[in-house]
Amino acid sequence: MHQFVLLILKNLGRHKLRTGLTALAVTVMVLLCIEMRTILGTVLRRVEAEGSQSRLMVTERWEMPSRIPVRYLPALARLEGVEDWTTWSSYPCYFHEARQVSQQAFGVATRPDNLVAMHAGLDKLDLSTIEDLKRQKSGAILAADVAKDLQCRIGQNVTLFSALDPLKTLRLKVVGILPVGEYPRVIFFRQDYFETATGNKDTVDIMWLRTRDAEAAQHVATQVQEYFRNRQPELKVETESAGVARFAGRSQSLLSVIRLVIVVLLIDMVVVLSNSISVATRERRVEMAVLKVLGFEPTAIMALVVGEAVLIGAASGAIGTTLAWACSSVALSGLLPPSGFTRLFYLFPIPIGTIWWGIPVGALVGFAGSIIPAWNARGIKVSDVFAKIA
Amino acid sequence: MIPLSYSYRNLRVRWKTTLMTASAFTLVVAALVVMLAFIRGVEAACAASGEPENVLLLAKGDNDEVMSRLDHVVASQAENTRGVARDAANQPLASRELFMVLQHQDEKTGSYRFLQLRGVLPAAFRVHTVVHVTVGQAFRPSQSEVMIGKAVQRETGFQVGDQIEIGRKRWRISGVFEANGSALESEAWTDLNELAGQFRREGAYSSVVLRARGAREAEELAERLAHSRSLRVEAMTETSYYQKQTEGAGVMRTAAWVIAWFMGVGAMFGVMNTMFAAIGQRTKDIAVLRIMGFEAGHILLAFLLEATLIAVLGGSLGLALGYAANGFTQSAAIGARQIDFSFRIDAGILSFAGVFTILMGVLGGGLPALSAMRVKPLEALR
Repeated sequence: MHQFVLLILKNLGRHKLRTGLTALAVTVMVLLCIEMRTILGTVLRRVEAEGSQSRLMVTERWEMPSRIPVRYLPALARLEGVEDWTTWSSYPCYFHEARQVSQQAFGVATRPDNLVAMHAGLDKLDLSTIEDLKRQKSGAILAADVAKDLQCRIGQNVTLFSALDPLKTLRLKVVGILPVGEYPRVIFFRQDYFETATGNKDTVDIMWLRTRDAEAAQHVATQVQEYFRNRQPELKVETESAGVARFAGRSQSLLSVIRLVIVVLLIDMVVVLSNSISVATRERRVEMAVLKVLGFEPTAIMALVVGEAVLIGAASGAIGTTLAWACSSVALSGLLPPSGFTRLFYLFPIPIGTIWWGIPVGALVGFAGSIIPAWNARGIKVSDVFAKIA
Repeated sequence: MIPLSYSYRNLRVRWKTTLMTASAFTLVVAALVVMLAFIRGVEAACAASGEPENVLLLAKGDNDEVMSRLDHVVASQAENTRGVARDAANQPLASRELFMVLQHQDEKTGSYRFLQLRGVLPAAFRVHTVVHVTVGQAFRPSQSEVMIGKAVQRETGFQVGDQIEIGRKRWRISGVFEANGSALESEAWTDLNELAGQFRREGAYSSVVLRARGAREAEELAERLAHSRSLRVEAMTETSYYQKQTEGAGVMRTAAWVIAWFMGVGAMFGVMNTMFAAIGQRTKDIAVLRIMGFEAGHILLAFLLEATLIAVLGGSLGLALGYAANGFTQSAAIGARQIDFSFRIDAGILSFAGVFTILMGVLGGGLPALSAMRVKPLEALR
């Protein structure tokens, strides 16, 4: 086995230019593929995994954006089966007066005391940050990408300009920054500060209810529907996962294009690798005939070709994913100025674990790309090859 | 000059390798065409969504109809502004509108979906001249009727005569309308007063649309209203309003180009591989050509041409494959609204993709062609 691997390595080293070009092609495509997969995976993870079945989203029955009267809140919080609750009041805004698309953010006024408990993905948030938010009425916790764009640090003040009403400007003090990749473009701040600053004390946009499990959630949902059926305004209740999926459905066409790109990249990698292996196999027909004469079985010849492709694919895959992770890490380290490139990685950071993903993908691409050339190599007839030479 | 047939025949002789290398380009170009068609489709849907003669008024500070609130006084004042066109009865051509995004529950599945509903008065049909009822009839005021856009019908499957629940009432679908492929086709329209009554919005409007005599007059009117001291509103022509909605498409276009270039670089390495292999097999041929009197530059050109031909072959197939997406209808979120759009492939996209293909072919063939040019005839024949 050891000898066999050595032979594969030697074969790859014989035509360094070809091996290098093939590896480069696969590396570049894996790099792009991993970023596309990260974007798609992040969106789907937020929809499927984090959209909880035991957390309920209560909104006004009909209108979007929803307005729930504050007078409804005590009754909702007291419903049987509700373990915890919070509210959201949205504040679409810009963090610069120029009001450019790249300066948009989504402010969320909410309760500070149970911020971590009621929001998936905030477990890594420092407890002292929550304490600071409780102490500082105008405190704010910024998404990592917003903090990067604003180039601000904890303790600094930021001004948010409402996208809806130019008179409702908020001045906040940054008390924390969210983990990278969580709640992109979101700025959390306190509901009581929002009410004071904007004068909106009568309604909230969404009420979130946490229940023990999906069964309890169903029970609570039934109570909400019955209790508020003939009230004005009516309420609507759905699980967080259903609500999030409905919003994500609006981007379905864009996600389909990303899926298409990933498929094209994978096929393209197979084609490029297959072409390269085919050329190499054709050039080495004599050598393979000699190997057969020396006693190598056809399956061993096949394994030799497949082995070369799998090795080159796996190595290129690993290099591609490592490069992608390195790009992401450099962008997140703060060494680079804010740009579309850094923003992309703040929205969709590539975790270190992704490096390992490149090896099986590259190996599979290599395997798929080498099957036909390997099959052809297996079938080489010694007599035909030597007859041609003679 | 080496005849073109030399390069062509070489490609034919190694047709399997040629096809394999070309297919890498096929996929890249097809993906590029689809991505650009997606962006062009969204832009086209937004571009078709405004009439240049119309001026849209929103509440001061608002850039979208969803949150905008105008009252009766502002609407009346705006309608009587100089520059607003008038009909035969000397009434201003102005449309007061209430735009709402409702959460409509599917009666069969129980799931919710967004329904964009616009409450309008009869004047709206004289202001939005692109709206035409194609099936059934327009809604009748105070009869709990709605008419739906073609895109809404495609999305929901609603038919004329169906009943849907909105607020506390059931509404009958009276007709289906088309609006020149614009964003309006993704809406349902009903009587403004009935809708306002249903959601306690009497006397409040999301927008007022004013019609001017022509596009130039509309721009002047928008300019005047935007800087008016007596009327605090956001005023813009309908075309510029929808243009603003596509600002996000610029980011998508950049992303599409970055993706295409990365994919192109991958395919380019594939061409390099093929060409280097071809040169390796034909060093003696090259030597003979040199001895026959062909110059190094001719060799360079011949191999560059060969690489370009591979790219053009693959690219052409890619264009044809990508073209299959033309006209494919999808919906996308643009700002707070959802619009229907068709993937649109035009001459611009085809030209871009063509230039991209040739460039990738030239770049991929450049290095191998240079190495072919450097082949020393005597050494190669020894």
